[in-house]
Amino acid sequence: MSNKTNTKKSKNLVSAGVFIALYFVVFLVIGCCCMPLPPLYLCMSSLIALVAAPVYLMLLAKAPMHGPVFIAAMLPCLFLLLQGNIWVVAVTGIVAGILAEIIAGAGKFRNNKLNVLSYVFFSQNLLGGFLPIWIMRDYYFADTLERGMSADFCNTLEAMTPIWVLYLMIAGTVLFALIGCVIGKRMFKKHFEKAGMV
Amino acid sequence: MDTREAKFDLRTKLMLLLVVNLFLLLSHAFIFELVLVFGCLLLITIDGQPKSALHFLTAFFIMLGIDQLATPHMNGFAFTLVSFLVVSLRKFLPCFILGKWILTKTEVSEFVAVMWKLRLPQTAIIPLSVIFRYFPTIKEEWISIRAAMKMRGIHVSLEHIMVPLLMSAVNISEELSAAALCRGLDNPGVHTSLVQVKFGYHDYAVWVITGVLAVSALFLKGVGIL
Repeated sequence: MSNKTNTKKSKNLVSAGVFIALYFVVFLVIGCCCMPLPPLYLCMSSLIALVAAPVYLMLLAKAPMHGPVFIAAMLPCLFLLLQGNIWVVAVTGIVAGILAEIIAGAGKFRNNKLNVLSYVFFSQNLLGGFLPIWIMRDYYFADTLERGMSADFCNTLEAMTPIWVLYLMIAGTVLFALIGCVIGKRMFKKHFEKAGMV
Repeated sequence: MDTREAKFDLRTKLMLLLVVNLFLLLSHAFIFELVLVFGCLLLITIDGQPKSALHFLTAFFIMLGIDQLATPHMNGFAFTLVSFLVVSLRKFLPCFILGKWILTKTEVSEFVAVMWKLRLPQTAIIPLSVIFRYFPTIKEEWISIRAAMKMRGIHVSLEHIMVPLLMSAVNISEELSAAALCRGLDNPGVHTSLVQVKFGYHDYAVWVITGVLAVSALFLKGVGIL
Protein backbone atom coordinates (compact mmCIF):
# COMPACT_ATOMS: atom_id res chain seq x y z
CA MET A 1 0.00 0.00 0.00
CA SER A 2 1.43 3.38 -0.90
CA ASN A 3 1.79 5.86 1.87
CA LYS A 4 -0.70 8.28 0.39
CA THR A 5 -3.62 5.85 0.30
CA ASN A 6 -2.73 4.77 3.80
CA THR A 7 -2.85 8.39 4.99
CA LYS A 8 -6.27 8.82 3.41
CA LYS A 9 -7.48 5.58 4.93
CA SER A 10 -6.32 6.63 8.39
CA LYS A 11 -8.03 9.98 8.00
CA ASN A 12 -11.29 8.30 7.03
CA LEU A 13 -11.04 5.90 9.93
CA VAL A 14 -10.62 8.77 12.40
CA SER A 15 -13.76 10.45 11.04
CA ALA A 16 -15.55 7.11 11.18
CA GLY A 17 -14.72 6.81 14.87
CA VAL A 18 -16.23 10.20 15.61
CA PHE A 19 -19.51 9.42 13.85
CA ILE A 20 -19.78 5.91 15.26
CA ALA A 21 -19.42 7.45 18.73
CA LEU A 22 -22.15 9.96 17.89
CA TYR A 23 -24.42 7.17 16.67
CA PHE A 24 -23.77 5.25 19.85
CA VAL A 25 -24.69 8.27 21.97
CA VAL A 26 -27.95 8.71 20.03
CA PHE A 27 -28.69 5.04 20.70
CA LEU A 28 -27.90 5.42 24.42
CA VAL A 29 -29.97 8.56 24.96
CA ILE A 30 -33.05 7.31 23.12
CA GLY A 31 -32.66 3.83 24.57
CA CYS A 32 -32.60 5.12 28.14
CA CYS A 33 -35.62 7.36 27.54
CA CYS A 34 -37.66 4.54 26.00
CA MET A 35 -36.71 1.72 28.30
CA PRO A 36 -39.16 2.11 31.23
CA LEU A 37 -42.39 2.47 29.20
CA PRO A 38 -43.71 -0.55 27.28
CA PRO A 39 -45.24 1.36 24.32
CA LEU A 40 -42.17 3.53 23.93
CA TYR A 41 -39.95 0.50 24.39
CA LEU A 42 -41.47 -1.04 21.28
CA CYS A 43 -40.93 2.22 19.36
CA MET A 44 -37.28 2.36 20.33
CA SER A 45 -35.70 1.04 17.14
CA SER A 46 -37.96 3.24 14.97
CA LEU A 47 -37.07 6.37 16.94
CA ILE A 48 -33.37 5.57 16.76
CA ALA A 49 -33.71 4.97 13.02
CA LEU A 50 -35.30 8.40 12.66
CA VAL A 51 -32.78 10.38 14.68
CA ALA A 52 -29.61 8.56 13.68
CA ALA A 53 -30.15 8.87 9.90
CA PRO A 54 -28.17 12.12 9.45
CA VAL A 55 -25.33 10.65 11.50
CA TYR A 56 -25.25 7.53 9.33
CA LEU A 57 -25.31 9.50 6.08
CA MET A 58 -22.51 11.67 7.41
CA LEU A 59 -20.55 8.54 8.33
CA LEU A 60 -20.85 7.23 4.79
CA ALA A 61 -19.95 10.63 3.33
CA LYS A 62 -16.87 11.04 5.51
CA ALA A 63 -15.65 7.46 5.60
CA PRO A 64 -16.55 5.74 2.31
CA MET A 65 -14.98 2.37 3.07
CA HIS A 66 -15.71 -1.10 4.42
CA GLY A 67 -15.46 -1.64 8.16
CA PRO A 68 -16.92 1.37 9.97
CA VAL A 69 -20.53 0.53 9.06
CA PHE A 70 -20.14 -2.93 10.53
CA ILE A 71 -18.58 -1.56 13.72
CA ALA A 72 -21.40 0.98 14.03
CA ALA A 73 -24.03 -1.75 13.68
CA MET A 74 -22.32 -4.05 16.15
CA LEU A 75 -21.45 -1.60 18.91
CA PRO A 76 -24.97 -1.07 20.35
CA CYS A 77 -25.66 -4.79 20.00
CA LEU A 78 -22.55 -5.67 21.98
CA PHE A 79 -23.60 -3.14 24.58
CA LEU A 80 -27.04 -4.75 24.85
CA LEU A 81 -25.41 -8.16 25.04
CA LEU A 82 -23.25 -7.00 27.95
CA GLN A 83 -26.41 -5.66 29.57
CA GLY A 84 -27.71 -9.21 29.64
CA ASN A 85 -29.85 -9.26 26.51
CA ILE A 86 -30.42 -12.61 24.84
CA TRP A 87 -27.77 -13.59 22.23
CA VAL A 88 -30.18 -13.04 19.29
CA VAL A 89 -29.29 -9.34 19.39
CA ALA A 90 -25.71 -10.08 18.30
CA VAL A 91 -26.93 -12.15 15.35
CA THR A 92 -29.20 -9.44 13.94
CA GLY A 93 -26.41 -6.91 14.52
CA ILE A 94 -23.98 -8.97 12.43
CA VAL A 95 -26.53 -9.65 9.68
CA ALA A 96 -27.68 -6.01 9.49
CA GLY A 97 -24.10 -4.76 9.55
CA ILE A 98 -22.91 -7.06 6.76
CA LEU A 99 -25.95 -6.38 4.56
CA ALA A 100 -25.55 -2.63 5.02
CA GLU A 101 -21.85 -2.92 4.14
CA ILE A 102 -22.55 -4.90 0.97
CA ILE A 103 -25.34 -2.62 -0.25
CA ALA A 104 -23.49 0.62 0.42
CA GLY A 105 -20.31 -0.93 -0.99
CA ALA A 106 -22.10 -1.85 -4.23
CA GLY A 107 -22.47 1.87 -4.93
CA LYS A 108 -18.94 2.59 -3.65
CA PHE A 109 -20.61 4.46 -0.73
CA ARG A 110 -21.41 7.32 -3.13
CA ASN A 111 -24.72 6.16 -4.61
CA ASN A 112 -27.50 8.04 -2.87
CA LYS A 113 -30.26 5.47 -3.30
CA LEU A 114 -28.10 2.54 -2.30
CA ASN A 115 -26.92 4.41 0.78
CA VAL A 116 -30.51 4.98 1.88
CA LEU A 117 -31.32 1.32 1.22
CA SER A 118 -28.28 0.28 3.24
CA TYR A 119 -29.50 2.46 6.10
CA VAL A 120 -32.85 0.69 6.01
CA PHE A 121 -31.08 -2.63 6.57
CA PHE A 122 -28.62 -1.10 9.01
CA SER A 123 -31.39 0.23 11.24
CA GLN A 124 -32.73 -3.30 11.78
CA ASN A 125 -29.64 -4.06 13.86
CA LEU A 126 -31.53 -3.64 17.15
CA LEU A 127 -34.34 -5.95 16.08
CA GLY A 128 -32.62 -8.81 17.89
CA GLY A 129 -33.31 -7.10 21.20
CA PHE A 130 -37.03 -7.49 20.54
CA LEU A 131 -37.26 -10.69 18.49
CA PRO A 132 -37.14 -12.93 21.60
CA ILE A 133 -40.46 -11.36 22.71
CA TRP A 134 -42.01 -13.52 19.99
CA ILE A 135 -39.66 -16.37 19.19
CA MET A 136 -38.77 -17.28 22.80
CA ARG A 137 -41.75 -15.77 24.57
CA ASP A 138 -41.68 -17.61 27.92
CA TYR A 139 -37.95 -17.42 28.34
CA TYR A 140 -37.90 -13.74 27.44
CA PHE A 141 -40.45 -12.67 30.04
CA ALA A 142 -38.92 -14.83 32.78
CA ASP A 143 -35.53 -13.34 31.93
CA THR A 144 -36.76 -9.74 31.82
CA LEU A 145 -38.45 -10.16 35.17
CA GLU A 146 -35.30 -11.56 36.68
CA ARG A 147 -33.23 -8.71 35.30
CA GLY A 148 -35.14 -6.38 37.56
CA MET A 149 -37.91 -4.95 35.38
CA SER A 150 -41.19 -4.84 37.27
CA ALA A 151 -43.89 -7.48 36.84
CA ASP A 152 -46.15 -4.64 35.74
CA PHE A 153 -43.84 -3.85 32.83
CA CYS A 154 -43.72 -7.49 31.77
CA ASN A 155 -47.49 -7.95 31.92
CA THR A 156 -48.19 -4.80 29.93
CA LEU A 157 -45.56 -5.77 27.39
CA GLU A 158 -46.98 -9.26 27.07
CA ALA A 159 -50.50 -7.93 26.56
CA MET A 160 -49.25 -5.45 23.98
CA THR A 161 -47.38 -7.84 21.74
CA PRO A 162 -49.46 -10.09 19.52
CA ILE A 163 -47.48 -11.32 16.52
CA TRP A 164 -48.59 -8.52 14.15
CA VAL A 165 -46.77 -6.01 16.35
CA LEU A 166 -43.50 -7.59 15.19
CA TYR A 167 -44.33 -6.88 11.54
CA LEU A 168 -45.51 -3.41 12.49
CA MET A 169 -42.24 -2.82 14.27
CA ILE A 170 -40.13 -3.87 11.28
CA ALA A 171 -42.29 -1.82 8.92
CA GLY A 172 -42.18 1.14 11.31
CA THR A 173 -38.40 0.99 11.50
CA VAL A 174 -38.14 0.89 7.70
CA LEU A 175 -40.54 3.82 7.35
CA PHE A 176 -38.81 5.91 10.00
CA ALA A 177 -35.42 5.10 8.51
CA LEU A 178 -36.64 6.45 5.17
CA ILE A 179 -38.14 9.56 6.77
CA GLY A 180 -34.92 10.03 8.69
CA CYS A 181 -32.92 9.88 5.46
CA VAL A 182 -35.18 12.47 3.83
CA ILE A 183 -34.76 14.78 6.82
CA GLY A 184 -31.04 14.09 6.81
CA LYS A 185 -30.70 14.95 3.13
CA ARG A 186 -32.63 18.18 3.67
CA MET A 187 -30.47 19.03 6.62
CA PHE A 188 -27.36 18.46 4.52
CA LYS A 189 -28.67 20.70 1.74
CA LYS A 190 -29.68 23.46 4.11
CA HIS A 191 -26.63 23.55 6.34
CA PHE A 192 -23.68 21.44 5.26
CA GLU A 193 -23.46 21.78 1.50
CA LYS A 194 -23.61 25.54 1.83
CA ALA A 195 -20.72 25.39 4.25
CA GLY A 196 -18.85 23.07 1.87
CA MET A 197 -18.65 20.25 4.36
CA VAL A 198 -20.14 17.39 2.38
CA MET B 1 13.54 8.07 27.80
CA ASP B 2 11.19 7.45 30.67
CA THR B 3 8.44 4.97 30.10
CA ARG B 4 5.17 5.16 31.93
CA GLU B 5 3.22 2.35 33.44
CA ALA B 6 -0.42 2.25 34.41
CA LYS B 7 -1.25 0.79 37.79
CA PHE B 8 -3.70 -1.66 36.28
CA ASP B 9 -3.28 -3.10 32.81
CA LEU B 10 -6.17 -2.29 30.45
CA ARG B 11 -6.47 -6.00 29.64
CA THR B 12 -7.16 -6.65 33.32
CA LYS B 13 -9.85 -3.97 33.33
CA LEU B 14 -11.53 -5.33 30.21
CA MET B 15 -11.40 -8.86 31.59
CA LEU B 16 -12.99 -7.60 34.80
CA LEU B 17 -15.79 -5.87 32.90
CA LEU B 18 -16.54 -9.05 30.98
CA VAL B 19 -16.31 -11.38 33.98
CA VAL B 20 -18.37 -9.11 36.25
CA ASN B 21 -21.01 -9.05 33.52
CA LEU B 22 -21.06 -12.82 33.38
CA PHE B 23 -21.28 -12.92 37.17
CA LEU B 24 -24.27 -10.61 37.11
CA LEU B 25 -26.02 -12.82 34.59
CA LEU B 26 -25.08 -15.94 36.52
CA SER B 27 -26.74 -15.04 39.77
CA HIS B 28 -29.10 -12.43 41.17
CA ALA B 29 -28.40 -13.28 44.81
CA PHE B 30 -28.15 -10.20 46.97
CA ILE B 31 -25.02 -11.26 48.85
CA PHE B 32 -23.27 -11.79 45.52
CA GLU B 33 -24.29 -8.31 44.40
CA LEU B 34 -22.79 -6.88 47.60
CA VAL B 35 -19.50 -8.70 47.04
CA LEU B 36 -19.26 -7.41 43.47
CA VAL B 37 -20.14 -3.81 44.32
CA PHE B 38 -17.69 -3.64 47.21
CA GLY B 39 -15.00 -5.42 45.20
CA CYS B 40 -15.29 -2.87 42.41
CA LEU B 41 -15.35 0.04 44.87
CA LEU B 42 -12.22 -1.29 46.55
CA LEU B 43 -10.49 -1.51 43.18
CA ILE B 44 -11.19 2.09 42.18
CA THR B 45 -10.18 3.25 45.66
CA ILE B 46 -6.83 1.47 45.23
CA ASP B 47 -6.45 3.13 41.83
CA GLY B 48 -6.82 6.55 43.44
CA GLN B 49 -10.49 7.42 43.06
CA PRO B 50 -11.86 7.28 46.63
CA LYS B 51 -14.17 10.21 45.95
CA SER B 52 -15.84 8.54 43.03
CA ALA B 53 -16.11 5.35 45.09
CA LEU B 54 -17.89 7.27 47.83
CA HIS B 55 -20.39 8.68 45.31
CA PHE B 56 -21.15 5.22 43.98
CA LEU B 57 -21.51 3.86 47.51
CA THR B 58 -24.02 6.58 48.41
CA ALA B 59 -25.97 5.97 45.21
CA PHE B 60 -26.03 2.25 45.92
CA PHE B 61 -27.46 2.71 49.40
CA ILE B 62 -30.04 5.26 48.23
CA MET B 63 -31.23 2.87 45.51
CA LEU B 64 -31.30 0.01 47.97
CA GLY B 65 -33.23 2.10 50.51
CA ILE B 66 -35.86 3.17 47.98
CA ASP B 67 -36.21 -0.40 46.78
CA GLN B 68 -36.70 -1.73 50.30
CA LEU B 69 -38.82 1.05 51.82
CA ALA B 70 -40.81 2.75 49.10
CA THR B 71 -41.62 0.28 46.32
CA PRO B 72 -44.02 -1.93 48.33
CA HIS B 73 -46.32 1.11 48.58
CA MET B 74 -46.40 1.93 44.88
CA ASN B 75 -48.12 0.50 41.85
CA GLY B 76 -48.84 1.19 38.18
CA PHE B 77 -46.70 3.48 36.12
CA ALA B 78 -44.78 5.06 39.00
CA PHE B 79 -43.82 1.61 40.17
CA THR B 80 -42.52 0.61 36.74
CA LEU B 81 -40.42 3.74 36.49
CA VAL B 82 -39.01 3.65 40.01
CA SER B 83 -38.39 -0.08 39.87
CA PHE B 84 -36.51 0.37 36.59
CA LEU B 85 -34.35 3.06 38.16
CA VAL B 86 -33.58 1.44 41.48
CA VAL B 87 -33.51 -2.26 40.61
CA SER B 88 -32.41 -2.69 36.98
CA LEU B 89 -29.80 0.04 37.17
CA ARG B 90 -28.60 -1.09 40.58
CA LYS B 91 -28.06 -4.62 39.34
CA PHE B 92 -25.62 -3.25 36.80
CA LEU B 93 -23.90 -0.84 39.15
CA PRO B 94 -20.65 -2.87 39.20
CA CYS B 95 -20.48 -2.54 35.41
CA PHE B 96 -21.10 1.20 35.59
CA ILE B 97 -18.34 1.52 38.16
CA LEU B 98 -15.89 -0.43 36.02
CA GLY B 99 -16.98 1.35 32.84
CA LYS B 100 -16.44 4.78 34.35
CA TRP B 101 -13.10 3.63 35.74
CA ILE B 102 -11.94 2.44 32.32
CA LEU B 103 -13.09 5.63 30.61
CA THR B 104 -11.51 8.04 33.11
CA LYS B 105 -8.32 6.22 34.06
CA THR B 106 -7.12 4.88 30.72
CA GLU B 107 -5.12 7.10 28.42
CA VAL B 108 -5.77 6.82 24.71
CA SER B 109 -2.14 5.92 24.03
CA GLU B 110 -2.42 3.01 26.43
CA PHE B 111 -5.64 1.91 24.77
CA VAL B 112 -3.99 1.97 21.34
CA ALA B 113 -0.91 0.13 22.63
CA VAL B 114 -3.11 -2.65 24.04
CA MET B 115 -5.05 -2.88 20.77
CA TRP B 116 -1.80 -3.31 18.84
CA LYS B 117 -0.74 -5.99 21.29
CA LEU B 118 -4.04 -7.83 20.81
CA ARG B 119 -3.26 -7.81 17.05
CA LEU B 120 -6.53 -6.20 15.97
CA PRO B 121 -6.60 -4.88 12.37
CA GLN B 122 -5.94 -1.18 11.81
CA THR B 123 -9.48 -0.76 10.47
CA ALA B 124 -10.76 -1.60 13.93
CA ILE B 125 -8.06 0.04 16.09
CA ILE B 126 -8.38 3.58 14.77
CA PRO B 127 -12.18 3.99 15.01
CA LEU B 128 -12.29 2.28 18.41
CA SER B 129 -9.60 4.50 19.89
CA VAL B 130 -11.31 7.59 18.47
CA ILE B 131 -14.65 6.49 19.94
CA PHE B 132 -12.90 6.04 23.26
CA ARG B 133 -11.42 9.52 23.05
CA TYR B 134 -14.56 11.22 21.72
CA PHE B 135 -17.17 10.32 24.37
CA PRO B 136 -16.11 12.96 26.92
CA THR B 137 -15.91 15.49 24.09
CA ILE B 138 -19.53 14.88 23.08
CA LYS B 139 -20.58 15.79 26.60
CA GLU B 140 -18.59 19.03 26.50
CA GLU B 141 -19.98 19.90 23.07
CA TRP B 142 -23.50 19.18 24.30
CA ILE B 143 -23.07 21.56 27.25
CA SER B 144 -21.80 24.32 24.95
CA ILE B 145 -24.61 23.77 22.48
CA ARG B 146 -27.21 23.97 25.21
CA ALA B 147 -25.63 27.15 26.55
CA ALA B 148 -25.66 28.72 23.08
CA MET B 149 -29.29 27.71 22.56
CA LYS B 150 -30.32 29.21 25.88
CA MET B 151 -28.49 32.43 25.15
CA ARG B 152 -30.33 32.85 21.85
CA GLY B 153 -33.66 31.58 23.19
CA ILE B 154 -33.90 28.60 20.83
CA HIS B 155 -36.12 25.69 21.82
CA VAL B 156 -35.06 22.08 21.67
CA SER B 157 -35.75 20.42 18.33
CA LEU B 158 -34.13 17.70 16.28
CA GLU B 159 -32.61 20.14 13.83
CA HIS B 160 -31.29 22.51 16.47
CA ILE B 161 -29.49 19.67 18.20
CA MET B 162 -28.29 17.48 15.35
CA VAL B 163 -26.93 20.23 13.10
CA PRO B 164 -24.54 21.77 15.64
CA LEU B 165 -23.57 18.32 16.90
CA LEU B 166 -22.75 17.13 13.39
CA MET B 167 -20.97 20.39 12.59
CA SER B 168 -18.75 20.07 15.63
CA ALA B 169 -18.23 16.36 14.90
CA VAL B 170 -17.01 17.16 11.38
CA ASN B 171 -14.62 19.81 12.68
CA ILE B 172 -13.35 17.63 15.48
CA SER B 173 -12.81 14.67 13.18
CA GLU B 174 -10.65 16.87 10.95
CA GLU B 175 -8.63 18.17 13.88
CA LEU B 176 -8.23 14.71 15.33
CA SER B 177 -7.02 13.21 12.06
CA ALA B 178 -4.53 16.05 11.63
CA ALA B 179 -3.25 15.41 15.15
CA ALA B 180 -3.15 11.66 14.63
CA LEU B 181 -1.29 11.92 11.31
CA CYS B 182 1.29 14.19 12.93
CA ARG B 183 1.97 11.39 15.37
CA GLY B 184 2.42 8.87 12.56
CA LEU B 185 -0.83 6.96 12.82
CA ASP B 186 -0.63 6.14 9.11
CA ASN B 187 2.80 4.55 9.43
CA PRO B 188 2.35 0.98 8.16
CA GLY B 189 5.25 -0.38 10.22
CA VAL B 190 5.32 -1.57 13.80
CA HIS B 191 4.39 1.21 16.22
CA THR B 192 6.30 1.95 19.38
CA SER B 193 4.62 3.24 22.51
CA LEU B 194 5.63 5.39 25.44
CA VAL B 195 3.23 3.47 27.64
CA GLN B 196 4.56 0.03 28.48
CA VAL B 197 1.83 -2.56 28.40
CA LYS B 198 2.67 -5.34 30.82
CA PHE B 199 1.21 -7.04 33.86
CA GLY B 200 2.29 -5.86 37.30
CA TYR B 201 1.71 -7.54 40.64
CA HIS B 202 -1.58 -5.62 40.97
CA ASP B 203 -2.84 -7.30 37.82
CA TYR B 204 -1.80 -10.78 38.91
CA ALA B 205 -3.57 -10.22 42.25
CA VAL B 206 -6.79 -9.17 40.48
CA TRP B 207 -6.66 -12.14 38.10
CA VAL B 208 -6.13 -14.59 40.96
CA ILE B 209 -8.92 -13.08 43.09
CA THR B 210 -11.31 -13.08 40.14
CA GLY B 211 -10.42 -16.68 39.40
CA VAL B 212 -11.08 -17.75 42.97
CA LEU B 213 -14.34 -15.82 43.00
CA ALA B 214 -15.42 -17.40 39.72
CA VAL B 215 -14.66 -20.92 40.88
CA SER B 216 -16.42 -20.44 44.21
CA ALA B 217 -19.43 -18.78 42.52
CA LEU B 218 -19.75 -21.70 40.09
CA PHE B 219 -19.37 -24.14 42.95
CA LEU B 220 -22.02 -22.42 45.07
CA LYS B 221 -24.29 -22.23 42.05
CA GLY B 222 -23.76 -25.91 41.43
CA VAL B 223 -24.63 -26.78 45.04
CA GLY B 224 -27.66 -24.54 44.71
CA ILE B 225 -26.93 -21.98 47.39
CA LEU B 226 -26.60 -18.90 45.19
